[in-house]
Amino acid sequence: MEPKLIELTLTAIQNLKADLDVDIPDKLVGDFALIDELDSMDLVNLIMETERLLESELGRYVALADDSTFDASESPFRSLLAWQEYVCEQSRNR
Amino acid sequence: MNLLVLSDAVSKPIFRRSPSHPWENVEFEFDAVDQFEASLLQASHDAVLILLSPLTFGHAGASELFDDRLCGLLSAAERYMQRTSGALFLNMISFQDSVSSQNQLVERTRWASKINERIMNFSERHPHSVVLVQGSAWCPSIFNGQSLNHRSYGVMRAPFDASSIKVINAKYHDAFVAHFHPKKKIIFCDADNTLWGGVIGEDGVDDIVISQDYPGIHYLRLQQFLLECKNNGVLLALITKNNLKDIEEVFSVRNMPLKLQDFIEVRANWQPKSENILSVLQVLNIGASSGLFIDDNDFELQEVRGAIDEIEVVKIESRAVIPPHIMLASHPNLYATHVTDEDRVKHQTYENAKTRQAFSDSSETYEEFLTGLEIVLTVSCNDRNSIPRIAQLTQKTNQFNLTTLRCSQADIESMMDAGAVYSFRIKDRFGDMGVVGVIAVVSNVTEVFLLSCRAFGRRIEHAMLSYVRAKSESAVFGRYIESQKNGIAHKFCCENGDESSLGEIADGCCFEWVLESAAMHATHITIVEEV
Repeated sequence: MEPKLIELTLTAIQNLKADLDVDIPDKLVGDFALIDELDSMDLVNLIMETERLLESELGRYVALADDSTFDASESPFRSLLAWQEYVCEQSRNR
Repeated sequence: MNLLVLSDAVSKPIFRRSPSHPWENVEFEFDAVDQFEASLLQASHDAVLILLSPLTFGHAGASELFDDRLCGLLSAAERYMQRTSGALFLNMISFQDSVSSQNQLVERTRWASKINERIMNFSERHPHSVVLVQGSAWCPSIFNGQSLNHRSYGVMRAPFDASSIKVINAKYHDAFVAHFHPKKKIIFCDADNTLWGGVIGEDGVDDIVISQDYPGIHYLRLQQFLLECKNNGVLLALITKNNLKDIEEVFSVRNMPLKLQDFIEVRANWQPKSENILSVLQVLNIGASSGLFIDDNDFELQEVRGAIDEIEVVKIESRAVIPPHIMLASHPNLYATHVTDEDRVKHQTYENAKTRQAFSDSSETYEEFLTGLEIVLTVSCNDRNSIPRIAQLTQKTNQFNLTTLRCSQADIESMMDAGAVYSFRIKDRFGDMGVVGVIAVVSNVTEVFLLSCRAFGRRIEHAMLSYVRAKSESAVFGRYIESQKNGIAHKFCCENGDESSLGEIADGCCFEWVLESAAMHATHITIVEEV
């Protein structure tokens, strides 16, 4: 996975720390279950913040929301690692 | 201040603080998507911000359904405003959808116009509480769908992309500031290369540039904008390093939107501009923070900013991508959410004040001056027509304001229902100053007691107090709450309040007003009761 994009996903989470209604640990581990810890509004917030940072970094828009995003079994939010892999994959595909 | 945000789209990611849009002193609360009516019927917030996305209300596919939705929303909003003293921020929509024919284009554009007509009518019924935001600012034409993300809207009701989010946040933030923060009272204008292109002293009167063609058109538009500001109650002062006779010649020879008499003060000389500005502020008794200085010259801007801390300075660049009149039009402290009758005559009111001052300077004694003014104080009690002006005075008056209680129109209405709200209109031989004083008595306490600084120095406040005290069958108590700027009010309390009634006249305390002292000082004023 590309280190810059990994860093970006963590930056997005940290940027939202003040806005989110949950305690996000300072050091996140790969199996941190975003979909369990954050409510749907927070997840939308996270998608939009990550999209914003991606657009700024890559110079193009990368869509991160699709039908699977909020599906508990398939969601890229099932873990931090899954989310990071998803972001990298979506960035490559566009 | 607590602010409830309602939308048919996910709104939390939109309204975030940034250095340019800090949303100072605001606590946001975001309700679930599409809960307009339910939320409005229960809301008790200081303000409600409604964001209508074009993908919902701009879609004319089911027009009757959305007609009902809009009616329901506006009806619930009406009840929120009746129940609270809150303000409501609401955008007008722009049509945003794909069409298959010109017929559909016309039909749907007409549909969006119909919705906006309803929204505008609603705002006109509540001119002091409803603030409109331009929805077209973040919705470009249907041929450029970049501002709207249809996929995100479908998946998570988040249709706005990063660029439109910035614009939405900015537009609502500026509307919020325009409504709740004091407007600038005066604009100090440079002349050469600001009001016209060129330098009079070098190019001559005939060769300065102001016309319908580029770049003269931008100077023309800027002057038109400044004239609109003047008509909205903002004073203009001309501060220029030129000979006065050259300035007079320009305004008499060239046909421009602004005339020399549109400026309340003209300082055409070679002194530092900061000195001229400070002098004007002193003459008009206006604080520096209420002023805005515009100039094209970096040196002048820096000089003024360095000498006068609180004044705001703006650089004018006529050839900038964003022309000066557009840039200034987006300044939230110049935007008038509501213009009162007093605003419209503000310039004349200050002209009258200058004449008054000249009379004062020519009077031998202060008593002679006061008597010579022939002051008539017209008092109204619980006049519902004056509510907007009374509320405006509570928001703007800082110095002679005993409690600095900021009241909405609903607050004033409540005080009228519970007690007596006296509004005082002042006329003298030099003109009518309009309603400039307010005393609100609730349960025998003057919860609001203020006088516009324009009316200082004539013992109007003594006459006001004397009248109110005489109207009451029992003792009337005053309340003083200290602020940064109302030291003069504290002095008045000490001179006219009875310290022995409830202790020292300190911050927050009540004391009894003493009638005799006030009445003695106001014998030169004729009081008339408005029936």
